Amino acid sequence: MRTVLLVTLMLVALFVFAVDAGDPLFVQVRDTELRSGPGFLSPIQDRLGFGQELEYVAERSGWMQVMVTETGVTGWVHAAAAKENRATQMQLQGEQTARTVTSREVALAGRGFSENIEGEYGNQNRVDFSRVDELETRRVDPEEIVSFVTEASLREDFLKEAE
Amino acid sequence: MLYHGYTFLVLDHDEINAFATPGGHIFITRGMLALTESEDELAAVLAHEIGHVAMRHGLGSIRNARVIGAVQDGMFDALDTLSGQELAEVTAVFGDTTADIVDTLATRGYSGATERQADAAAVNILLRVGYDPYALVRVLERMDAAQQAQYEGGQEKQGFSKTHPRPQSRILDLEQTDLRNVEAGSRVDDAESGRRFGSTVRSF
Repeated sequence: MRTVLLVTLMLVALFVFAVDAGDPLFVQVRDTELRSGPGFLSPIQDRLGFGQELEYVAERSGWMQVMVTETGVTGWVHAAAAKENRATQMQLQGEQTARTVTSREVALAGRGFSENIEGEYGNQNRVDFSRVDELETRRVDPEEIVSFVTEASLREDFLKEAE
Repeated sequence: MLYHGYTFLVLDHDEINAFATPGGHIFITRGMLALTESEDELAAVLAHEIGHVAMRHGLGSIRNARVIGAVQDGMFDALDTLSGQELAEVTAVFGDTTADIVDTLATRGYSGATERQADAAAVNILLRVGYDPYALVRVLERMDAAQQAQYEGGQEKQGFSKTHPRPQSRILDLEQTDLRNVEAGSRVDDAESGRRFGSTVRSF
């Protein structure tokens, strides 16, 4: 658990974007939070799911200010959670046009392929994905991240809202 | 694509290695964990792997163009209804793609250039979080010593020495570029991180 904590707090850096105001973006992760400010400790305004459409407003220190297309609510998402991505658009169309595609399958397509293909591959090659599935369900409480950072005198500034 | 964010797993193996999938699953062996002597050093190893993921190094190894074909044909729409021959075909594409990525991660390794990029990313992450960026150098030195011991013991290359360039050359690169203007020993060696490293990581 500690290892998970340690690295969860390292996700802050590294994402640089080249998008213009008004450009469409799509949520690229299973779920994420829309926050009132550009920081991990800013209050949560809404929860966003995979494929949800956003409109880019501005960027600050690894966070993007966006407007949620569906609701018109404006807030901040971490830059790693949304991208301008053609593949996502296709998956979205799949969700809207083909009634047979469930949201779970659209979500799995976000991993590249679907559950039946993963199952077929697993059977052919005797691969057991259960530990990976378990790994993917782990979540770290933001409060645990804060105490992990503060108790060991790490930098707290990256958790706070960017100036 | 970081659909699930970054996730981490310890592999119960003595070999000294760590690797990451393009989707953000990061694996570290028990052997590599044992090689680290502080939270900062463990953070350095994991930050290096995060660097590979963030720069999408694994995806460049996919040689099979059929994957892109499958996406363009709108097959995502129909993935759940595939059966028989179609399912077998797409499963074969999935298998080829997986094989390409595993080949890079575990057999051939990334190129020297991508290793240096991941090292640079690691230094950036460590500085931003407040860990000592020189922890990366310390862990590389220890990996180099372990590699030397392997050679002297007449063993074949295994683990990281098969997939990574010589640690010494990476240390030189770091010292000449990313660490050039970074003061050594700026991090307060905190007793709390030592305590929790000892009580959690050493339990593996």
